[in-house]
Amino acid sequence: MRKLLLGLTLIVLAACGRDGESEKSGPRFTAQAPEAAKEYIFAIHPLHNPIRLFEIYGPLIDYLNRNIPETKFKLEASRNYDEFDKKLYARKFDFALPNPYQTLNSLRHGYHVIAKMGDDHKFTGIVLVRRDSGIRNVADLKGKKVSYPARTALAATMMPQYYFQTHGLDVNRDIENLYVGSQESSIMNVYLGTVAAGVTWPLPWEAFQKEHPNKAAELEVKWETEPLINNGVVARDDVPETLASRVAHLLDTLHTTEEGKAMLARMPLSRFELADDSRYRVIEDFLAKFSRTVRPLDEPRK
Amino acid sequence: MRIFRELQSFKRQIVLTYTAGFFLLIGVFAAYLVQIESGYLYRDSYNEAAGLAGSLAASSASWVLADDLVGLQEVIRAFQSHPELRYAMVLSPSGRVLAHTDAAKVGLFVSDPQSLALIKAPPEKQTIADSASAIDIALPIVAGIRHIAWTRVALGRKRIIHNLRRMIVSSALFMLLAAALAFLSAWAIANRLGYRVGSLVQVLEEVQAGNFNARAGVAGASDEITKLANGLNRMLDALAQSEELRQHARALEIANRELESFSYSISHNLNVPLRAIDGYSRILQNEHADKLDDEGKRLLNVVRNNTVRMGNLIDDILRFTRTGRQGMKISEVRMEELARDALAEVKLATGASNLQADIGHLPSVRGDFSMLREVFKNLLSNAIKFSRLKQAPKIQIGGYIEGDEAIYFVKDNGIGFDMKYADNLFGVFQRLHGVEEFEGTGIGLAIVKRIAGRHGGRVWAESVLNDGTAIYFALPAGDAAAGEAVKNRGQSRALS
Repeated sequence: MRKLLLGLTLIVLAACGRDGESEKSGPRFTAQAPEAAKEYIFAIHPLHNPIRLFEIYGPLIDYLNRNIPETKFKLEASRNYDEFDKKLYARKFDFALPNPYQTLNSLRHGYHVIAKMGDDHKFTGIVLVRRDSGIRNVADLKGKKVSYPARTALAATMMPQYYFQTHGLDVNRDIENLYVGSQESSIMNVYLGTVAAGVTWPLPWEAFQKEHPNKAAELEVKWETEPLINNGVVARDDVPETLASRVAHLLDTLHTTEEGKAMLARMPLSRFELADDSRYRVIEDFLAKFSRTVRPLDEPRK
Repeated sequence: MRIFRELQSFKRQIVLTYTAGFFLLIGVFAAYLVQIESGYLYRDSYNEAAGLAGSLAASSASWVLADDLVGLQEVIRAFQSHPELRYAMVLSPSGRVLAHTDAAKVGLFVSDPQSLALIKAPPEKQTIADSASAIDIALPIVAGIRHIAWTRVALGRKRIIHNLRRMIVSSALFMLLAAALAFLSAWAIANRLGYRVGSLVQVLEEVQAGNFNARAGVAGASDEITKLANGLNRMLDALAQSEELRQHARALEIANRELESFSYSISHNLNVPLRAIDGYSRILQNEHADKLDDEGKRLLNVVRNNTVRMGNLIDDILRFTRTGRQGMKISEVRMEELARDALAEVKLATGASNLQADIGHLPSVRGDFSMLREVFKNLLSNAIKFSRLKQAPKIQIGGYIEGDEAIYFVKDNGIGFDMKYADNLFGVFQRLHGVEEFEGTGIGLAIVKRIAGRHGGRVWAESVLNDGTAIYFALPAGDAAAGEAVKNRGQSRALS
C-alpha cells in the first residue's frame, strides 16, 4: 500500500515538470570592453528614416569594408537633423555625408571634404502640392502651412524658403513653417492635406514615386529651385590621410563597377566624385544671401 | 499480486481494488491536467517573453541605427511595467549594453558565458534560459539583412509556480475526496455481496456436513448471486433425488442377494426331503411292489418320475444361482479351443454320432474360462437337442469382432421357433416346446444370459420355424481380440 501511494505521489510530482531547477542569476557585466579593432563610424545625414537609410547605404559601407579589409567601417544613422548635427559637431563621426550646409559647418569642427555626390543639377529644392489644391502661384500659399524636413536642411528647406522669399512670399509672416523631421514626413503631410505645400528635394521624391505611385499621382511638383552643390563627404582631421584618400578613391570609382552602379541606382545617383573644401564656398555665398533675405542662420549645435 | 493473495477476503480485495483504482485513475487524470496546464502556462510565458523581445526589437531598430542611447532607454522604459519582467536590455553585437531596465548598466559589457555565447550566436531567436523560475529570450535586431543588435528579455515565473502549486493542492484534495467516496461505495457493495455470498457458503458447509435439506435463500434483485443460489438449490434437489435413488438401488441389490441366498438355501434344503422321498419310494418300488396293485404301481412311478424331475429342477436352480454368486476369474480365453472342447464333451454326453459340426475361427476374449465353457455347453446341448429330429443335423459355431464387441454364435438346422416368443427365450424355466418333445427344465439359456451379463455382454436369438435357430452372445472385445477383427469378419459373416 505504501508503495502504491508513493507511486501515485511520484506521478503527480512528475506532472509538475520543470521542478527543482535553481533560479539562475542574471547576466554579469563589466566595464571593460572586449578587445576589438577600431571602428570608423560613417554617418549619413537623415536623407531617409534610419531603416531605409541602412537599406540604401548599408551596401556602400559593406563595399568599403570589403575593399579596405584592415579597417572596420560602421554605418550610423540619425533620427533627425538635430541629432545628426549634434553628433557631427561633437566630432563623433569619423566620416560623414552631411548636406552641403552641414558640410560647410563641419569644416569649422575639424572635418575636411574628401568627396561629394555628383549630379549637382539634382540638388534643388522642390515644392509639392496636391493636384486638387487649387494652388497656382506662390502667393496662393499665403495663410497656409508649409512642411519642411528640418530647419537646417539646405535643399529641402533653405533653398525653397529663399525661393518663396524671392517670389513674393514673406516666409516668416505669410506662411506657417512646419519642420516635420524627415523628407518622407514632409511629403506625407502634403498628401494627407495637413499642409498646403510640402518641401523636399528630388531624391526622396523619386523614391516616394516608386514606392507609393498611387499617392504620388495625387501630388505634383509645383516649383523647383535653382540647383546648388550636392552633399559632401567629409573626414575628421584625425583620420589617417591615407585611409581618407582610399575611401575617397573608392567613392570616386564606384560608378565604374556593376556593383557600384547598382548601389548608386538605389540612392539614386550617377556617381560620387572627388572634392575639397573650396567647392563649398558656393554654400557660404548662398547662406549669406539667405541670412540677409530670409532669416538668420541657426547656430550649429554642439 | 502478493497483496491480493494476502487479502484472503474478497470483500477486502474489492475495497482495495475499487479504492486504489479510483485513486490511481483520478491521480493519473490530475497529473495529466497539471501537465497540460503546466505546458500551457510555460508555453504562454515563453511566447510572452518572445513577444516582448520582438516588440522591443521592432521599437528599438531605429534608435539602434541612430545610436541614440537616450531614445533607446526611453523605449525600454516602456517595458518596465510588466509585472514579471526581470530585465530587458539591448545589446550591441559586441556585447555592449545600449539600453537596460537598470539604467546603471548602460555602457557596460556583458561578461557571463551565456551572454558571450549569445553575441557569437547566429542572428536568430535564442533561448538563453527556460527554467521553472524564469525564461530568458534574445532576439536579433536587424535592418534589412543587417544584424545590428540584440534585444534580451527575461521574465520570472513565480506566478506560474504559484498557480501550479495551487492546482496540485486542489487536485490532491480532489483525489482524497474521490478515494474516500470510492472507499465508502466499495465498502457498501462488498458488504452486500459478502452477506449474500456468505449465505451460499453456509449452505455448502451444511451440505458438506450431511444436511441435504439445506437450501440457499438469497433475497434481492434477480442478479448473478440470485441465479447462483437458484442453481445451487436445483443442484441440491437433484443431489437429494439421486441419493434417494442410490439408496433404493442399494436396498434392491441387498434384497436381490437375500433372495438369491434364500433361493439357494431353499433349493439346497429341499434336496434332503427330496432324497428321502426318492429313497423311500425306490424301497417301496423294489421291496414292496408285490403288495401294490397296478394302479398303486403306476402312481408310485409317477411319484418317482416327479421326484427325479424335481431333483433336476433343484439342480438347475442351484446351477443358475451359482452362476450369479460365484467369483469370476478373468483371463485370456481362447474361444475356438474352448468351443471344440465343449462340443466334444456334449457330443459324448448326448451320443450325437451323426452330428455334422462346423467350427469357424473364434476370436479370443478376456473372461471367466469355466463360465464361458458353461455357455458353449448350454448352447451346444440345445442345438443338438433341437436338431436331433433332422436326418442330417448340422451345427455351425462362429465368431467375429464388430465395433468393441466380440460376437459368437451357435447355429443349428433344428426345429426353430416363432420369433414372436423370442423375448421369453432367455427367462428362467421358459420353454417353447413340451417336455414330452424335448427334455430339459428351460434353465440353460437363462444361465447363458446371466453369464454374458456378468461379463458385460448381451445375448439374442434369430430363428426360423422348422429351419433352425442361431443364438448369439456378445462380449466386450479386449485388446487381445482387436487384432482379429479384420481377419475374421468376412469368414464369420459367411457363417452367420
